[in-house]
Amino acid sequence: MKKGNVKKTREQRTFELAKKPFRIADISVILLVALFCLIFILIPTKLSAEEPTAFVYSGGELVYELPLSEDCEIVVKNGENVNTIVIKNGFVFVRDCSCDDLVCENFGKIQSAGERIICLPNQLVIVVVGEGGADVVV
Amino acid sequence: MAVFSYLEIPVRKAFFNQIKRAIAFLVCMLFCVPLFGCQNKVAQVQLSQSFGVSYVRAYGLSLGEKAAFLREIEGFLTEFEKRLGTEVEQSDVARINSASVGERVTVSDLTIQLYTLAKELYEKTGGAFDPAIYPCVKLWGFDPKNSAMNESRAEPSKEEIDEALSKAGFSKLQRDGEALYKTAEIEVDFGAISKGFAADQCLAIIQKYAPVGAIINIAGNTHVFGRFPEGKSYRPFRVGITNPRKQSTTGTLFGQLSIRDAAIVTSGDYMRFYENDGKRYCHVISPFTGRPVETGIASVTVIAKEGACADAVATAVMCLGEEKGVALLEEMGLSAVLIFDDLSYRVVGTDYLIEESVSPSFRVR
Repeated sequence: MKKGNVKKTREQRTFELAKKPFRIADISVILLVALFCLIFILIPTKLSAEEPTAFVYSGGELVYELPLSEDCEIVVKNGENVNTIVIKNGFVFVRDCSCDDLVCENFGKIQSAGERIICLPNQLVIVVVGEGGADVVV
Repeated sequence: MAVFSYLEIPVRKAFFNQIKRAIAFLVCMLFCVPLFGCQNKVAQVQLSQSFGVSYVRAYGLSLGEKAAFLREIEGFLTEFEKRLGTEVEQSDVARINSASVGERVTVSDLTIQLYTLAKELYEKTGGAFDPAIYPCVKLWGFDPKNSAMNESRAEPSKEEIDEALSKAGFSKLQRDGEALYKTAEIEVDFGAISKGFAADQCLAIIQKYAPVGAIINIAGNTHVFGRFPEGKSYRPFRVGITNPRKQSTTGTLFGQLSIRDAAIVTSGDYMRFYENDGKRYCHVISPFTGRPVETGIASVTVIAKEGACADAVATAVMCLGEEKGVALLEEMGLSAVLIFDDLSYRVVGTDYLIEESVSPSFRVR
């Protein structure tokens, strides 16, 4: 009779199972649970903690990522076209523009996610992403 | 380890291996704890439709507190609607309205509290806030039962207005202990104060649970309490003021207030109104003329300690107009933002307005 065909008793099987602290199945379950938790813990925190940021595109390329929490003033040049972008008290707006129509200056100050300022002559786009805006509206 | 001395070594090993597995299982469970923690940071309850779009939100409550808080708020608002709903059968208000002159109507403590507050505000505003203007409100088709209140229609005749106006005057409702009685034929509706009052009562319930912050919004009558948790720090609440002229200007918001621990109420001509021959008729009816207000004010946002006060004063300022309205606000020591028909605005009292947030379509008056 070959060794492999010997039927083990219930006690023997239990004993062999208990011999090792972890089997492959145990380790895979632990890893899966850990992975599942990490996904749920990290992703929402990252999304909800994302502070409002102004993405500045010039000529179709992302040139700046400016957090709205830090006041600053930058000049964006695209060839001869110049725009001065200001961030103050959580709002972003265009102060000076070399274009003729000044539509971008008239967009006013924006802060909420999804809002944007567009300057067609200078090929400038500012988009706000992340949280922002009012907590409640009356 | 004496207790294991008589056991065979492999059995002991198996026993410790089981313990190791149990510990691994517990560690896995610990990973799951933050999942539940995250969901319970905000406790929110959506309220019944009779109040309009309403919710109460509290930040930083435990699971048990959240359940208790929701139960208590829902219980209170059900009771509130039962007692004070103007169109609710057998409510205190409905019984007062159907009672004959001089008949004593025994009412609940809640109704007495609201009556006392309303009377005080009726006197302080010189009658500009008048809960007994209800016959005029019905005449103009702005009662909550009229589902077509925004549809164009002809003005009522002068005789009809005069007759309805003769029934106004909140001083004709008097108190006698636990009962209220009418001294003349009137009909009352606490709609211009009850939502603010309900928000005050909800705030009192929430404060017992001591959350980090809370927002109470009863159909636009808002209370903000404490601070708003943002990331790992806190900041005051940002309260947006609706742009009353969305059609002719950019943006849905006029601007934002940065504020904490206050009641903020807006009264305006842009929610319930109809147009006829290019003229706007809004739901705020002046107790002085019996007609929809035409004071050039598009909306008034009042900031006060109590919601009931802010609610009533916002309506009063709409009726009084700029000059008298501002005088009333200053006399009562309240702050406000007035937005006018011509897209100008005026800040009264403390300036909570975030300057950068004001829509570029508006200018300072």
